[in-house]
Amino acid sequence: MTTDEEAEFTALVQRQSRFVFRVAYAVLLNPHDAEDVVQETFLKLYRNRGWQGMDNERAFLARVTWRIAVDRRPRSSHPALEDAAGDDRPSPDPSPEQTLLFSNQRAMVSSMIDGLPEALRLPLVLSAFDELNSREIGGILGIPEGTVRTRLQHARQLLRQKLTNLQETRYA
Amino acid sequence: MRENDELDRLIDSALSTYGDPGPDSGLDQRVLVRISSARASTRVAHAPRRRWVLWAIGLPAAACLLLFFLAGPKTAPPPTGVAKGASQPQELPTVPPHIGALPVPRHEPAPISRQLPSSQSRRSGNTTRAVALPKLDLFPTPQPLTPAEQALIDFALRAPESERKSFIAAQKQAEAPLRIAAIEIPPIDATNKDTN
Repeated sequence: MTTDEEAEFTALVQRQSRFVFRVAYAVLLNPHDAEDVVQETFLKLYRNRGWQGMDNERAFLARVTWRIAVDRRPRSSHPALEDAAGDDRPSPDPSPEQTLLFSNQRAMVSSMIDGLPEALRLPLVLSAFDELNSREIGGILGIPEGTVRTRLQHARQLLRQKLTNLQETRYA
Repeated sequence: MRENDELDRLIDSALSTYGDPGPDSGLDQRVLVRISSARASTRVAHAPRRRWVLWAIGLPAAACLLLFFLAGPKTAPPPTGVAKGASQPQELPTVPPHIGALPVPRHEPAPISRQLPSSQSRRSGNTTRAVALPKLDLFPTPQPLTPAEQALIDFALRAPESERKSFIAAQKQAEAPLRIAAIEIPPIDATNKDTN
């Protein structure tokens, strides 16, 4: 690898490492495992020079990261994506004690996102990143574009419902 | 409706920072350090593999070259490295009767050129035969007169007849084989031995 390529790769790491971390975290929900996935992703790209021919940088990185994270995920604790596609069970709402702990509303919503089924959480998190539309998210996750939109609506609906329930519990 | 907008805003706000390690986490530096260390270890690990590849290519190539030279034609090409003058018979230096007045000709030996073999003979593998020395009619090769020989010739030409004869006689006497008388050792007497 030439000096210019080294510099280009270093710039790529500095530019996209946080994005890759967020994708990995959305799958694993563990910062340590997510960082391992980030390092493995960039190491893989460095070795096979796959980063040199990227059309859409973020979509490509998200796809690679998602595959590595899914391979690393323990199968027993997290069901496969297809199995969880129809899982509508709401995650357990935070208890009043937890609610008190979450003084920051944003942190509370993040905890609710963690509790979403993976089939709903991944499209929702990926949709929050710039430059990724429903078609690209579908390409990353291997699902049709229409399914991505449906899951996004469903995820938001679940979060709204949880937040409403929480507010009602708080001010009751 | 307004409540839904507020909730959506809250969800978007949470999503914008969801799982973000933050700009000061040093994640990119850790990734780069890991890659550089992996690169260094890869270089070390690949070194013996490259050596193995070198052997894998080098050994068959050497074997092919060896077979090529062994199976090649073994007929010797005509000698090409011999100079023209070397094949001609060379005459011994002669001393004419009036040599005292004329300078003695010094015979220079014919130069032996060791011409390199042609590319064709080199390919056939007979490189040692191509540079064979010429066969001379006279052996050993005549050499020019040394100063001592030259002085002897001058003496023979200028000295009177009587001195030359006496010199030749002295030379013959010096070259004559030495005669040593037989050594006779008397036996040791046994009685003398006892007394001693």
